[in-house]
Amino acid sequence: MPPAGIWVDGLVQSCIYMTMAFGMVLVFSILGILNWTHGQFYMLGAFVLYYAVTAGIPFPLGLLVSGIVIGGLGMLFERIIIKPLNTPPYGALYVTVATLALIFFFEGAAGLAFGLLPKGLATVLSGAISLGSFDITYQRLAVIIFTLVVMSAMYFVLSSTKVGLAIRAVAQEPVAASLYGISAARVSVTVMGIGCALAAMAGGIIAPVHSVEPFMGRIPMIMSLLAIVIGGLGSLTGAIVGAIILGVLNSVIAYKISFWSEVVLFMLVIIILLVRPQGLFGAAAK
Amino acid sequence: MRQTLCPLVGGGAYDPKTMPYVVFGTPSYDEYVNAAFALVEAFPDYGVLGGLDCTISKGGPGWIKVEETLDKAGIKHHTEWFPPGTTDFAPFITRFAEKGCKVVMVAGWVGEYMMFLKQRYEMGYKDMKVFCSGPFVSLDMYKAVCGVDAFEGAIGYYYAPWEFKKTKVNPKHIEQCREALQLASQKTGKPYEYTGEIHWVPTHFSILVQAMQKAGTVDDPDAIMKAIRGGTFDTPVGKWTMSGEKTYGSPIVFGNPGCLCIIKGGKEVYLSEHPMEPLP
Repeated sequence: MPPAGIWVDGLVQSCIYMTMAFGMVLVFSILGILNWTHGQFYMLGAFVLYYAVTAGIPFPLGLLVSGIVIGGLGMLFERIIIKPLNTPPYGALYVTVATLALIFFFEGAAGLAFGLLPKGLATVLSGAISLGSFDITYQRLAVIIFTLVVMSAMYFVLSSTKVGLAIRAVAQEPVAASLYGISAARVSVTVMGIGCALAAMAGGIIAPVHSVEPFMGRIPMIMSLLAIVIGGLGSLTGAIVGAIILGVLNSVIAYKISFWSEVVLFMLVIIILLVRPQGLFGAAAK
Repeated sequence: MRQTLCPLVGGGAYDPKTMPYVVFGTPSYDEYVNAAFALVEAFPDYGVLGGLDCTISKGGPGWIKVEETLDKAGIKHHTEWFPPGTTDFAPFITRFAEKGCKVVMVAGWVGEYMMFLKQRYEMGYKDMKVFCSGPFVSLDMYKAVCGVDAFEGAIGYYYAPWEFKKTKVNPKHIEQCREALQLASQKTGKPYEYTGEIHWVPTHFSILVQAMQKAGTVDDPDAIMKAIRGGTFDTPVGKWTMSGEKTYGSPIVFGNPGCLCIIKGGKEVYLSEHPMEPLP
């Protein structure tokens, strides 16, 4: 049985994948596309947070700033790039190609603007508490608490606000929603903003735990994509459960069998999909 | 030149088949093994010497030689491999701790080294010594990423030749290296501390130039290689006689003394040294 520290470590990883996956599912539910640049918004959010904190802005406020700035960038991104390419005669394939290309654009631009050497915020929340056999840092605890707060806030927004109702309506039946006066275009840009803001804040909250560099978004992007596939494309609950499974498994498998972890983990994902192609919480194909 | 004479191979493994005229592979396994010896000398209670490298390097000729040499020297060791892109080293840190590794060598991956250093401290393994195969690129970067406390006690290569205690260096090289660091500091506008640049480039070029002088040619790779094999060269890392034998096929590999520093008070301080000698 892996020691308790490994399970907690897995939970921290899950929290990051959860926040990112939630944003990706929201975008997929409304726009019907997978935003391959999601990992780069995570990276940009970390950089915004880094420069905000080093400029003297308190960390929680910096996190908010990161979400707002990158959320705004996401909205611009939706208007300028996604919307024109996601409209007939074009479609999802064109969006995929564009967002894949933008991965390299954003990474290259970040490298030029911010440099390639890793940057750090190690001392934002220094210190740790001892839980017997292992220590957990305040920063890692903050990741867990932050995720709980964000997920609770998103649940509230989606279930109890007009914006949330509009999002759910468009996700279920866009045509019917428009008949009720809900603008799908406005919901699309809002959801893109929320999704990118979530990615940005995930990058920001993890920045003091790891380091900030232009290529930091690739692995979290892949893992959160796998989380939503395991959970079921289009399912918010699935995204959360998928992220928890993936994060914990990643840590436990790496502990048990070291470098074989990626092979085993992705094989498990394939097995889950073969047994249940719609994912754990997705609807079966008719 | 009939074929490219490659005096420098930047980092990691080289392939004798595709680089038949590689003269110096750096870092060579000799360098890594010398560092292992220097660590064991500095920390006799090392327990089991941990080694951490990326799966990209797994199975390479360098690692096989390293493990064989450590076995011959009677040094207990345990190696872990992480997949590319790993940022969470908690599983590996836990495994090293369970195996009794009080000293861990990380093979040259700067970002991963910083993460390992930081995370082992945060997990409570503050006494686990961690070495990185390379000199410290920027002390400020490590402090920012790892935190000052976690960075304290970090171990790396230390190529400032005036710091060598067991390896004798010609004073002219020491003067040149000091001048190079000073020039770099002037150009960058801040103290330039990275000793890698004053080591690898001058050392390998000095060997190449001396070999060309001995061979009497600058564009005959075979003659130059012949001059290198078995030749004695005066370098910033001491006077060294190359093996007369072919090593790993055609390439000749020049190692480095395992001179190490440890971070104390945020600064690099000499730790220990294992001069270049024929390896067991």
